Formats: sequence, C-alpha cells, structure tokens
Amino acid sequence: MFTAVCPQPNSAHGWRFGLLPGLLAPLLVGLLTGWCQALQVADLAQVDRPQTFVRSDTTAEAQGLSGVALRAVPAADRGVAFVHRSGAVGADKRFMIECVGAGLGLVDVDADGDLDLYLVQGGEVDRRGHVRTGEASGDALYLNDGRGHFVDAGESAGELADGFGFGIAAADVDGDGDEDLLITQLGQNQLLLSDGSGGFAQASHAQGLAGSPDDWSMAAAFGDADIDGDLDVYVTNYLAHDLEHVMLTGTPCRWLGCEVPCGPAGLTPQADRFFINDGSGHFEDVTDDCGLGDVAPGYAFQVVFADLDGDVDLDLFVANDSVPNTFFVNKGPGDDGRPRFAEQGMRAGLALSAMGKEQAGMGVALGDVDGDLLPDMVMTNFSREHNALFLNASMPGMGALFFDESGSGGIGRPSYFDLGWGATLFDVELDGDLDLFVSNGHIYPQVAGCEISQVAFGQQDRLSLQVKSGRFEPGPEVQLGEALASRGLAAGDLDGDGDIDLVSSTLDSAPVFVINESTRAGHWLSVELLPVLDAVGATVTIESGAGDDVVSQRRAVVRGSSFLCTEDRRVHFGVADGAPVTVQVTWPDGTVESHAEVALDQRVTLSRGQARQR
Amino acid sequence: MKGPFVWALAFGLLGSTWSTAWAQSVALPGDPGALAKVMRLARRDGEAASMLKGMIKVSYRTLRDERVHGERMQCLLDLGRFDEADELAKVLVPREGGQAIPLAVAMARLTFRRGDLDAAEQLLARVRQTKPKQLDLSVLAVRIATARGDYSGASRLLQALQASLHEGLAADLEVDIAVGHGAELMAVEDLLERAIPLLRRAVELAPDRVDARALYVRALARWQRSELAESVALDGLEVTKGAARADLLHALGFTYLGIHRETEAVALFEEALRWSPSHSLARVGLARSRWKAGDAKGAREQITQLLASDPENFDALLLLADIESSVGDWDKAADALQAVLDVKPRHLKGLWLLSRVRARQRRPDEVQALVDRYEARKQVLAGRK
Repeated sequence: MFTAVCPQPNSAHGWRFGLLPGLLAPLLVGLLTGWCQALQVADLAQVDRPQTFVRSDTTAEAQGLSGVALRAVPAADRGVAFVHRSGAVGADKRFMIECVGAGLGLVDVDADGDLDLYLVQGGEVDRRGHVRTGEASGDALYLNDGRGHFVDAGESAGELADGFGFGIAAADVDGDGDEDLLITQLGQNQLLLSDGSGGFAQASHAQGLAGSPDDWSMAAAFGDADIDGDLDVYVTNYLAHDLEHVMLTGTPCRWLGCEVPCGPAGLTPQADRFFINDGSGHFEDVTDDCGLGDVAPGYAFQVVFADLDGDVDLDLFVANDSVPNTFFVNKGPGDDGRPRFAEQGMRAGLALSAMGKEQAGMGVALGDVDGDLLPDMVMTNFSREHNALFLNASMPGMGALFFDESGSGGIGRPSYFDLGWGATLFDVELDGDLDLFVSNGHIYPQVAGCEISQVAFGQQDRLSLQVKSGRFEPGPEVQLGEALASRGLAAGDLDGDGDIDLVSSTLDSAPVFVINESTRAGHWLSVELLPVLDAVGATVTIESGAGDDVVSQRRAVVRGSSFLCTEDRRVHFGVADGAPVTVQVTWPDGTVESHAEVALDQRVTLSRGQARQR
Repeated sequence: MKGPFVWALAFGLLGSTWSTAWAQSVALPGDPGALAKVMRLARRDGEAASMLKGMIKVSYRTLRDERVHGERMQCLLDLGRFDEADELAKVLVPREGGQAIPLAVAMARLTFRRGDLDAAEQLLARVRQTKPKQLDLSVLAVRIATARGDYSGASRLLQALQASLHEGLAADLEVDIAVGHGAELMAVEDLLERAIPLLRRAVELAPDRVDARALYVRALARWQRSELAESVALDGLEVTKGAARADLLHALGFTYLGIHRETEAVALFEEALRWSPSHSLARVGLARSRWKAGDAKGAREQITQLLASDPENFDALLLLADIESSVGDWDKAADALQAVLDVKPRHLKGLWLLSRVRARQRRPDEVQALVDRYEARKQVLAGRK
C-alpha cells in the first residue's frame, strides 16, 4: 500500500491541511515532508471534500497530543449512496422503532483482503406504527476497492436482508471458511450464508436463529460458548413493540416535558435468546437450559461475547437500557454438555454505575485499556449519565471484577451531556495505547424544540485520547458540518494504510466515514487469525521492547460489538518501538501458539497450527 | 355586649385596614371576651401584627384571660414568631375543667408547629367537638394534612375554606401544599415533571416565599432547564435579604454544579454558608463542588465540619466515601459507608458502594453478602411498585 512506500511524516501538521485550499495543501506539504506525502494528501484532497474539519483548540495540543487527525468524509464521496430509513423523520417520529437506528458491518465478504461495508436498513412505518418492509427496506453491500472507496455490490451480492433491520454480526456459522451474516430485525432475524466471494443467500428460517415473529432483536454476538468447535450466538431483544399498548397509553409520551415516542419505560422488556450451534450451522434456542433465562429481561441493546474473567471460556456482557446490565459468567458445561451461565453483574461491578445508578446502556467497546492484559469495557449511556469505563480487575479467588473508573479515567465528565451509542477502542496515533471513539446523537428528535439545557438531537462524535494508562483526555473534534444523530460505529483499516479508520451509521441519514490522517507516533501490526471460525474468542498478545522495557498488549477477536455492529475481525496494534515483536495467540480452547520476530508495519495472517505451541 | 358588636361591625363595614387603624387609635375593649373576638377578626383579615401592637394598652388582668392569651399566641403563630408563642404557652396554667377555645386552638397549633402531628390532631379533634366550624381549626386541619403528605386531602379542605380566608393565608396554605407535594414528587425521578407546574404556581402565588422558589429552582435544574432555573433564582436573590438568601444561593449553586460550573457553585455555596452557617445542604454542595473542582482536601474539611454537628448526615457520609475512594483510602471509605448502614441497614446506595469498596479490599465474601442484601432490598421495593 501507499504507506509501505512512503515515509511517514513526523510533523504535527497533518490536521491543518483540511483548512487550506486544496491546491495549496499539497505544495506546502511537499516542501515540509517530501513529495511522497504530498502526493498522498493531494490524492485525498481531490477525492474527499470534507464539509468542515475543525481542530479544536482544547488542551490536547498543549499536552502533546498534536498530530491526531480524523477527517470526516461524506459517504457519497466514498461511493456510498445508502441512506438509512426508520419511518417518520424528525419530530414526526412516534415510535421507538423509528428512533434506534441501525448498525453496520465491516467484513471482507469477497476474500480480497479489504473491508467491505454492509449497511443495515430500517424500513417504513405508517402512522399507526405498522411496518412496511420489502421494497421499502433492503440492506446494502458495498465492496471496497482496497483504498477505502466503495462500489455497490448490486446483484452480485445475491440475497441480502430485507426486513426492518437493526443489528449485524458476522461469523462463520457453518464452518466453510467464510463469514456469514446474522441480521437482527423487528420480527424474525435473517441469516445470510456467504458463498465466500461476496454473494449471499438467505437461509431458510435463519437455520434456527429467526426467533419469534414478535421479537424486536437488537444486537448479536458470536462465540464458542461450549468449546465444541462451532459458534453459538447470543441475540439481545429490546422490548415488545406492542402497538396496541403504545396507542392506548397515548402517544406521544413525555420526557422532561417534551412529547416523545413511548419507551422503554412503561413498555414490556423482551427476553434475550441464546442459540447453540449443532455444528452444521443450525441452531437451537437453549436460553432457558443454560441459565440465561433465570434473570428478568432487560431492555437489552449491545452484547459482547468474550473471556471477561480470565478463565479462557467466553462470558457475556449485556448492556441494558434503563435497568441494570447483566453479566453472565460461563461456568462450563452442564451434564448435558451445554454451557451454564450464572448472572453476576452486581457482584462483578458491571450492573450499575460507580455511584450505584442504573444507566441506559447502549453500546460496548472491548479492549485492554490499562495494559494489564485483561479486557476492559466502555459502555455508552444516555445524556447526563456519562459513559462508563469498566476496568477489569479480575483475579483468581475473586472471580470477575470490574470497577467503573469513568471519573478517574477522564471519560465521565466530557461525555456527561452526550447520548452515546457506538463505541470502539483503537490506537489512533499508533503510540501503543488504546484511544476511544464514541458516536453520539440524541434518541428523540423532538428535543430540538424543548429548550432542554445542553441537549441537541445532532451531537458531535467524541474522540478521547489515552494520555497515560487508563486515563483519557478529550481529543480533537471531528465534525461533518451539521451534527448528525450517529448510531452504529465500526473500526477497521478501510484504506489499507495501516491505521484504523471508522464508519458510523446515522439515523435517517447516510453513513459517515472518518478517515485517520494522524501523524504516526509509532508503528502498527494487523493480525488476522485463520481459520475464521477458530479465531472468534481468541486473543492475540504481542510483546515489544526488551528486558525491563517489555510492553505487552492484548486484543480479543469478537464478532458483535460497539452498537449493533460488526467490526474488523483482524486485531490491530500500535507499537511505539519499531523492533519486531513476539506474537502469542490463545485460541478459544486454551491452546497457545507463539510467533517470534514478527516485523511491524504489516498485516500478518496467522493460521492455527503453524506456530510453536506452548 | 355593646363593645364586641361595634368592633365586629367596624371590621365588617370598614375592612381590615381601617378597623386596624381604629384599633390602634382607639382603646381596645376592656372585656376579655370582646377583645378576644376582635383579635380573632383581626387575624382573619391578616392584621395580627397591628393587633399585637395595639395590645400594649391592654391590662395585665385581661391579658391573663385564657381567650385573650390564646388569641395572642395565635397572632404570634400567624406571624411565624413561634419562639414567642412557645414562651406564652408556658405562662398560663390551664384552668380546671379545660381551656377556653382560643387557647385550646393555640395549643393545637403550637403542638403542630413543634412537629407532634398526632398530638396536634388529637387536640384539633377535641376542640372541634365544641366548635366544628372554627376557621383556625380548619386551617390547622389543612396544615396537618399537608404535613402528613395528604396533599389531595389538604387541597380539598383548602378549597372548602377558600372564601373565608384572607388572600395571604390562602396563598400561604396553597404554597405549603405545593412545596410539600413538589418535594415529594421530586424524590421520584419519573414524577419530577409533575412537580414543575405545582412549584411554578407556588412561586407565582407567593413570589417572596423563598422555600418555594428555592425548590422550584432545584426542580428546574433537575428537569434540565438550567437557564430558567438560573433566572428564577436570580430574580429571587434580587429581592431577598439576609439569611433567607441561603436557600436560594444553595439552589443556584446546585444548578451550576449540575452543569459543571463548579467555580461559580463554590462561590454561591460559600455565600450561602456565610448567611446560614448551619445550612447542611449548602455545606454538602460546597464540599461536592470543591471536590469536583479537584480540591479533595477542601471538600474533606467541609464534610468533617458538617459531620461534627450532624454525624448521621447521609449526603455527607456518601460524599466522604466517594472522596476517600478516589484517593484509594478504602478503609476510610468503608467506615463512612458503614456509618450510613449502621443507621439505615437497607440503604441501597450505601450497600452498593460498600460492596464496591469491599471488592477493592479483596473481601469477596463481604461483597457477596452486601450484594445479596442489595438485591433483597431491590426485590422488596419492586414488589411495592
């Protein structure tokens, strides 16, 4: 790729280019950092026309955070014509289904090595709350040209989902080596089986994953819960879209004196579902058999499936809206061979905020923030709740243990007025630690006319930079003209230049690309694990440096994260030191493999069984 | 019998202002019964202060009459001079065979003011057997219903009385109901919105009632209308003098604290405490603002000062636990939380926070025990809903 040839600039000027006229920018850059970099910028300046790009004059620069640059680019400039539809627009919305938005997936559907873009579509809703799908709906698949520009897959995509969609999770459900797509919907879910070259076919009855016609499913996450070599899946359900009830209670409801669509309070939460794979890609709903039906249903949004307590098997964290979050610890198989889960949200410190408040859990980002090799989590919340930073302190004898460090971690106060949805942890400037990006936007368009203090429907997304272990500071603002109501957010290297870019979905609008143009503080390594089926739930640990200065970083492969999204399944590291690193893979069954002297600034594929086992 | 008739006629025909002027310029009736009646009529018209001034010419013997004595106490009660009323109550030994009606009513009112609702209600019932339609008793019934949290009952009683009350008293009672009801609604997140119109009307009815205005400001701040809250508070501060400013300053500080304007909040809480050093809400607010502004030491000092006089102040103890947790002093944080739970073992937030502190201290059994207690309590509360 381009960056493999061109030296990376060390200056902190990258962010300023967007402020200069397009023709002047390359000349100035050429003088400053060499012709190669100038060509790169010129290329971007011609292709992408950001409406605005504002580098905030916050404390970031003063604190040595300069050089971070994320450039928002309209979807149309990247070849994406998709516009999300959820029913009525703006203040005319009457139902919750019109307010939630939908996710997106970054998945290499055609096995050409780059990330393609699957966009989940909503549908039309009439004034009585009845949903129209089919022609009015229809998801979209865009294929990446390898440089972050997309073309509509069109007919070649085959059968995409066509219901009123919300979430997406990708995983190789049938063990044929490619990732299939589960699209969660209002009504029954759809499973799209991949042919491995960009084509999909709708599986009959979603091979057991359809759920009930009454379900309103949100997010899904795959993982091998019983370590039997196939992928099981947890699907969150939000609430009973009971039109009769909503109508009877009288729409609209009121929130802070504002007339808004009813819910979730006052409506009936729906139970989530857990499906076990029989090994052939067919699923059985075993929610009640596995201890997952023992807890009262919450208004569930995002779920993550990962080893959260450090015992290798995969646990489940579910962010619930307005009620305590649930955390299901995997207790291993029961007598029937099926996994058993025990709810320990309160004990583990994940159910409530640090101050004991039930929050409106929306999205979840997973990553080792503080470098202790345990996965931490960021959960986005409602406005005036602030986002939660759950640092993992699990240890033998204590079980899973988290502490909400959103205050001391520096993400609480800046996010206090935000209503957050998608969230992702990634190393924006490749300095060796994880930074945080959150997509924001109010749920109710009606707030625009209600004179509520510090609240707007369209909100700026928020970048937070990690300045020391576990401590974030506000990063530069990323703006795309008028603030939008962002929802889903997925991270991945869209343009193949080695750093992480972002795509966010927006309510009733086109997605937004956020291209990473940060000055690099270090190097990078992208690791793809094969086979894709085995990779889910695996962790990749790298060791850089030497002697007393060895630095370890760990990433987990998850399928289903952020808010209703599937992100790049390759794990990505920023490394301050450029020397080769040791890579250690822990597969979901506990097998550990090591790869020594892996060079940086490249994408490597590590296949199971090809390395030294430990 | 001529005297009372003339006075009553004067009040009836001339209105309160004129008759009060007359009362001050002309000698009050010497007959205690007549005087008591004049006093009651004067109070009815909101002229208790003028009446008390005129009493200077009344003989000691007349003043010792139970009826006059009772009316004097009620004048003081009407004017909010509770300590003086209390002193008067000690002066007169009730005569055998029961008290005169005015004194019995005064004692019932005073008992209510002392906070003994049951006793006040018993006294009220006893006097009502003789005088079922006595206005002061009806007013007291409204006040007791308000204090008991029976706001709809209080409103009904007030509505029935409305025509008989002078404007100021009617407004005062309505504002009392609004303040009580508003505070109760504010305690439940979902009901906050219902408190807003109640408190707005209270402020309209009695713009100088600082308690109503301060509560309205706090409700608006919690209702996320910070700009309006600020404006309502500043309007009140412009015309409020002395120690009464403390409540408004606290309410405005609370508003600023909610929108991260800690520096201004600190200044407001400090001023509130200058006016009213025992204002515990303002002191907790000051501690919280200082802590949020990064001054943990200053915050701790305020809490220590408050706990010295009020060791069971939950807000202060919970904040202290928060501050000690933020600096990693888990033992002190646990002590503060344990103090809360010692007083109220099922305090939900206390249980949760202590479970987190015990987790920090790596004491899993205690964590589990606290979580169990929390969940049991939650279930009970859910059952009540």
